[in-house]
Amino acid sequence: MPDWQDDDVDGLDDIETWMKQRAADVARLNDQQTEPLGRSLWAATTQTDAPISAFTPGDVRNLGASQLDCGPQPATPVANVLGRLEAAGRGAEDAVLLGHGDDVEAGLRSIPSLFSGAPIGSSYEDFLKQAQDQDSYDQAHYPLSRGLGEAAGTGLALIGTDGAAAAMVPRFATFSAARVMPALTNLERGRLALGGAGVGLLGQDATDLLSGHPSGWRDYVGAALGGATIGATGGRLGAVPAAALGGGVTSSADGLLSGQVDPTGVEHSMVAAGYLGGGGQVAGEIGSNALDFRDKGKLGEWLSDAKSFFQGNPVAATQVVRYLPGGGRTVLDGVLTNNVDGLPYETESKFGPTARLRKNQRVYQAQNPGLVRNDYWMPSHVGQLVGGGLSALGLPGIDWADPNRQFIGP
Amino acid sequence: MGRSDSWIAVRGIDRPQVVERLGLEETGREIERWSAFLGLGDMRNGWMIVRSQDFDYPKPKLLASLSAGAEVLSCQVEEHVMVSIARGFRDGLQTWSVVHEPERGIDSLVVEGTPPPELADIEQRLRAEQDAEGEDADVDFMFDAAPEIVAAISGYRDDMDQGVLFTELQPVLPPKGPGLLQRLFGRR
Repeated sequence: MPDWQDDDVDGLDDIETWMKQRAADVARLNDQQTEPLGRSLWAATTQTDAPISAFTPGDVRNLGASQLDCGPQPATPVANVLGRLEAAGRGAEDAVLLGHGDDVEAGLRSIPSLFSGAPIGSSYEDFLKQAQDQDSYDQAHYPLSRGLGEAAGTGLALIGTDGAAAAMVPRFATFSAARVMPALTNLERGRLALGGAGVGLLGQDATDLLSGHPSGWRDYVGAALGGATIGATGGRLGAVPAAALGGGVTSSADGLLSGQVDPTGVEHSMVAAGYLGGGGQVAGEIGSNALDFRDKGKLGEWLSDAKSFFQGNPVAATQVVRYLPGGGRTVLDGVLTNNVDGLPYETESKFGPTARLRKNQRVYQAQNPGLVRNDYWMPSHVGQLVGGGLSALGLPGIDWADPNRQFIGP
Repeated sequence: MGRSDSWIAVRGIDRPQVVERLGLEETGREIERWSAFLGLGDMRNGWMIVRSQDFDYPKPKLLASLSAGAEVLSCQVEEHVMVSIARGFRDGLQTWSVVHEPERGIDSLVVEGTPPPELADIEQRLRAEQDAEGEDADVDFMFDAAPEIVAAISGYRDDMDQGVLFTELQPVLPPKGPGLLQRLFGRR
């Protein structure tokens, strides 16, 4: 087979077809309406800030040609409303699919080619071009509808992800002492924010290494701020909203530092982070609940040790025996390094909704009120940690892969 | 490490036999109960206790071989998830078991075989204590069924200071063979 056929990426497998296609393209560009249409569209976009660019006269004619492909602007009010609704729908679809709405639409519309024998590559390219033209048309004629659709799609994607994650994880009934496990203090949240910033930086660095494209300092600042936001809000917000907030902060910070905040990019970052947060929440919750009970016990202990560390009072001794009046004894999981007046100094770790105190543990705690910190860990806590960590770590990668990403110099 | 450990009570064979059947040897060093991976104590009532920091140390195969011509009890406790297991072996066969897993219900106690008659009183008392606390209790009384039935028979309680002296046990290491150079040059 000759080499030129191997390079035939658009699926046009004979020279006559190729010539016809090119002739149609030229005719399309030479249409008398293309240049004035392109110019008026370009002028309109300078007033609406729609992300459409045309740098050369050829680009302007292309812009006009694409508008011709989309047909004239609707004349009747009803058709106009329908056009706006469709633009909003396409905006919402793009938000849910992280800017890949055109690709998905072109892919779906190309499926019949699989059965008809038509070249799938060229069908896909044609449909993709049509979808992109339609996007430009929407941006030019219905920017508000498109923007509202994107915002609505962002909200729906996050609410849907949060709801789906909640529906997928097991529900447990537990006892009240476990339900009221003390929330984190502001100091602990501050430390978690620092940890989240570190995870964000790690994610940005990993993205740079894997993509081979070193990021600018703005990306690193954005990733750190996003990770810090996820760390600071974790526990107070669910995994999906915390991740979405962190994604929004990452993208907004990057944009603010570059002097150009891209609302679509911010929305995509929020949705992508929400997806990661929801996926991590489900994986962490189901995974930790499926562990063997021995591993659940070890995980609970590890979480308690990590909590003590983030409180700035790490565990100094483990498996410490305490004696009770009458000859009884109990073994504490941990004794902390510093005995600060009024704060628990010893730890007892439990994992799972049914893990309560042993009789002697309760007797000891009743005799020493306020001395022991009982950590009742649940699979949902693990889900929140995994969701937050995954979104802070993975957000820079998804942000980098966003097709709408605007590259700005370092 | 928190409490996720186990103990074995043996009666009917002497101390050296217990150590030998477990494939262990005594170091002669006295220990606190929780300070070594394995320890051996004499209850002075005919029962000897082998303690381990490993929840899974009393494997059924080990207990079966240990109980040849003897009576063996084992208890395993995991205090982070509140799982407790007690087993009885005699002459190489398991005769009963008692398992508490709170995920099956706070008052769940799965009994198999023919447990010692003392279990009935223990179970009744613990159930009454648990019922008195109500469903929202922060305490799990039934967890103590397994350790208590072993204590009722052997006298050993893991939650009491009984003044039992424990000595450290360690695995018997295979005799050290000649090194590479010794084998090459045939010198011992």
